[in-house]
Amino acid sequence: MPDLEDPFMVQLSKCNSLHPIPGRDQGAQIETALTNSIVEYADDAIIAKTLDGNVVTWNAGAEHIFGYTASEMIGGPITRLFPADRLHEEIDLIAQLQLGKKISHFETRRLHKDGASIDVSVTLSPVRDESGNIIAISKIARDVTARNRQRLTLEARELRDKNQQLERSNRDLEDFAYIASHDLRTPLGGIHSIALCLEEDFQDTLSEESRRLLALMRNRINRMETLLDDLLTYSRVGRTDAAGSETRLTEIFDRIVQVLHPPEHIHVRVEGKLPVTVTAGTQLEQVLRNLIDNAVKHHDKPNGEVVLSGRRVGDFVEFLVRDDGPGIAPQYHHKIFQLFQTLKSPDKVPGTGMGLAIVKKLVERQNCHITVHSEGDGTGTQFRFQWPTVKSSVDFQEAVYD
Amino acid sequence: MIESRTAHLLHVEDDDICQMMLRRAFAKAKIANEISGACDGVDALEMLRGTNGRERLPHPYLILLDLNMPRMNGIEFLKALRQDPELKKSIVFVLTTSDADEDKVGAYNLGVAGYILKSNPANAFLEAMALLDTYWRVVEFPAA
Repeated sequence: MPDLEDPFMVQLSKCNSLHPIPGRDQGAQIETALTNSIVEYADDAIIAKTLDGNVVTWNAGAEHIFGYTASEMIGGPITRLFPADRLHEEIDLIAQLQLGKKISHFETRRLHKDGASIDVSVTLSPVRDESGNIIAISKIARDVTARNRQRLTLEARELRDKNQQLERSNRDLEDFAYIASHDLRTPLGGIHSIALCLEEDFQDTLSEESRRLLALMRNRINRMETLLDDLLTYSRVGRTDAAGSETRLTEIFDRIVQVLHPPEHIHVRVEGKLPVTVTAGTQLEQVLRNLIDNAVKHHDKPNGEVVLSGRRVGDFVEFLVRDDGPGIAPQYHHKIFQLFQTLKSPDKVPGTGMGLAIVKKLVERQNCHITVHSEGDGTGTQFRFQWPTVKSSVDFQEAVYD
Repeated sequence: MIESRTAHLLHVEDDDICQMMLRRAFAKAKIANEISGACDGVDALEMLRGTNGRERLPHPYLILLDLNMPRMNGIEFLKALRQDPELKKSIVFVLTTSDADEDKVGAYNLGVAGYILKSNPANAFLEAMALLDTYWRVVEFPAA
């Protein structure tokens, strides 16, 4: 076909040469020629197939998109184009068409002759005979691979930008917490010092009431200092990287108990064997210390015990810290891991509400989870969490505690 | 021999209350060693070198150094001090609220004699004072 000529006009002129008489017939001829021309020159694949899925017509667009020529496809099954995981679509789609439905812009995947995957948008409609019976199915398929790829690139870029923003705001928040907790300590230290000087200088002249007020003030200053210390610890969780080192858990446990120095009536012990492992030991020690400290601090019975156990689960050690203290009512379980949340006034049980928030942050930085189990009816609390280890390094040793 | 008993103390600290507390602690314990205050690293270097119209700090001296200060912080001051041929032998104790590992390592890398944490204002200065009181009675100072 001559390149210079408009293909549509070529078709029309062919029609004209065959049927030179103008009139109603010519209108029909033009319509047929138009249809033929559109089918022939469309970029889209325009295909007709029988109800049982055999290809009847195959245009140049189809050849271009799928790589098969008309002679390769006509008479053969359309499912040649289907990837194995999409074969079921043919039955579904034909069933819908037989119910009289038209399928517009159905997005799916097909295969090129060379095996490449092509994203297509498919419109299917029934072809009826004069009495309205469906005799074939017309299928228009558009190659949307490039469009989808572009959209994905755009989405990926948006996601990456959002991710960067999030990382930045997270870092800002951590910086803020760090600077705030650090810089607030200096003026508070000054207040603390002056309170001490006043108490010292007026030791002999202060009334009982003034002495009590100064003591209260000192108490609040101490609380604020602890709060800032804990906030600083919390903000540092993300700042210092946890290096793996050989960690002897029984030694960690010893150290925790020694530092906490639990009262006589609360027995803190290990059950079973604790592993020696290569892991982020300092962080793990902090988690265990906070959990055990919490259990001891909130114990309100004349006698009690706090029990630590650990068992190996794959590359992880799963720890359980359980006590037989007052427990935590289920409606508070979501609250206890939040910053600055305490269930008792700090005047009753000392604490800043940071301990479990720090625990959660440390555990989650290891991509692990911590859960709490407690009925809150005086039958105790269990905290369960996993901690990753270097695979070959877990070696259980008999604990020497009873 | 240098009479270290008369050693001078240079307290480099931007917080007035901290300076005051140190003086109080010394006065209470009747330690007569003279204390000079500098408000940051720049101020301290001027006093040690006798520059910018400042009177030069007499030998022997001992420096008590805070880390978080404006203009020139403690670590920067230590670097400048160790690079100065006249001052590099100075004895420095760090007295700070920072318990960050990077600060401790940084300070010891720059040759401090000790790192004291100001944890609780009630004890911080008393402890520092007790340490210094013993230190300069027992330890020989470098010649001027």
